[in-house]
Amino acid sequence: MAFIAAGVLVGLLFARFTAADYVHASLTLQEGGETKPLYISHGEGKRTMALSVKNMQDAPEVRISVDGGSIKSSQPPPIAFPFRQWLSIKDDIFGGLKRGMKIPLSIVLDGKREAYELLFVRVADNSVIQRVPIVRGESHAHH
Amino acid sequence: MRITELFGRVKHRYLFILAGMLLFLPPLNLIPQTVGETNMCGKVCPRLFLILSTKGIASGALSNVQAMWFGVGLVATVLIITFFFGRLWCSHLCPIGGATELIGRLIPARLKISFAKIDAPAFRYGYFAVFVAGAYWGAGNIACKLCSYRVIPFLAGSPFEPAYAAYLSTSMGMAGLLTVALSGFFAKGGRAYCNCLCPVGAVDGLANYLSSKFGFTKKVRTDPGKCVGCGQCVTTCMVWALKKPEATETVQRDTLSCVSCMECAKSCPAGAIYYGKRQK
Repeated sequence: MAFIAAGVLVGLLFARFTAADYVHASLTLQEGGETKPLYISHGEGKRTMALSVKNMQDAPEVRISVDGGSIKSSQPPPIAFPFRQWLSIKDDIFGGLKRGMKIPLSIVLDGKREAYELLFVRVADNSVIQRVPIVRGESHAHH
Repeated sequence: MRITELFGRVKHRYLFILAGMLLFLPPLNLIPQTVGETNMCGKVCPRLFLILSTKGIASGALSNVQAMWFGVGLVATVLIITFFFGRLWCSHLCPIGGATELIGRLIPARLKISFAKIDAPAFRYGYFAVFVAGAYWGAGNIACKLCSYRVIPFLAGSPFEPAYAAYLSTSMGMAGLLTVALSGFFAKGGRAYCNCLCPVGAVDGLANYLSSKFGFTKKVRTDPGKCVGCGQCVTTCMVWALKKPEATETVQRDTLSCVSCMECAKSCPAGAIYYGKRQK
């Protein structure tokens, strides 16, 4: 019984564990779509957001930027096999996009501002697809 | 360091583990790439679908299966293999447990932590209950937190992809790395995370326990008639699944924890441990 309780206790500790500097969130990229803010915690210091973007717009090339931060992605893989098409990333331009594709982003914010804006711009005509505010507050996406 | 110390006694197992690491981990990650993933998360995740959804158990499960279909298929395949042949995934192919064990073998024994005093099955299923139902109960969601299926691929990929290094430099990444280091790299045998915290291991252990009741299934088994009770196998077991109670002459095997690595069979001087069907 003692070890069952210990397992439950460790499970609860893990479940309750949060890190102020890291948050996981998701977003649907859609022109004219509803834009809900993304949340980072209060306080100073670098903030990292793992953002899973579901691409639901048609532009093949999109510039993704945020003032006061940098954006990285786990795509394309270091050794990309030819049987799959991957994103191509040059500076802040994400190419090879298709509707329904997932864009995994890792956004590192400097933590010096109260709010940020994540900007998605269609490269072809330089028009804004979506502006996503990143604000301070309680995050609702924890995993 | 002698080769037997580095690679254990069942050397072909390490070739399988290395193959598993090449197939599943960055930079090559051949298998995740086939389904459009660059690590063991997303569609490939074999753990997240086990969590009961707060949106409703049935609809949440369906949504999880759709989102993590490859991971679900992987676990289903693992369970079928385990039923008939023992826990060959955990011991021979899992790139995560394999990596902790392999890296752990490079760390001097004097720095290792022994977790053998923990009643692993009791601890494991207590933890597993919270993993599965914690979010549903409102107690919190473990999900990707401190997950070895996240930490190890990100660690392997960090020299190549700055996004992985960015995660590992956060408090969450460092806490995950610390958890994997203490319960993996620095654990005696390198498998304490597998034995106490891995949700796939919990399900797989249960499948092994239940299927070992059937004599036609192939498992690592002990012939009590041949066992001389020397306890040699107890010291080689990575998951402290073998015990020799003082009251008995022979060693007892906990099939909820045994990962079918066969290190014990190789170490047995009396040839009492074998892999196969139950002998009549």
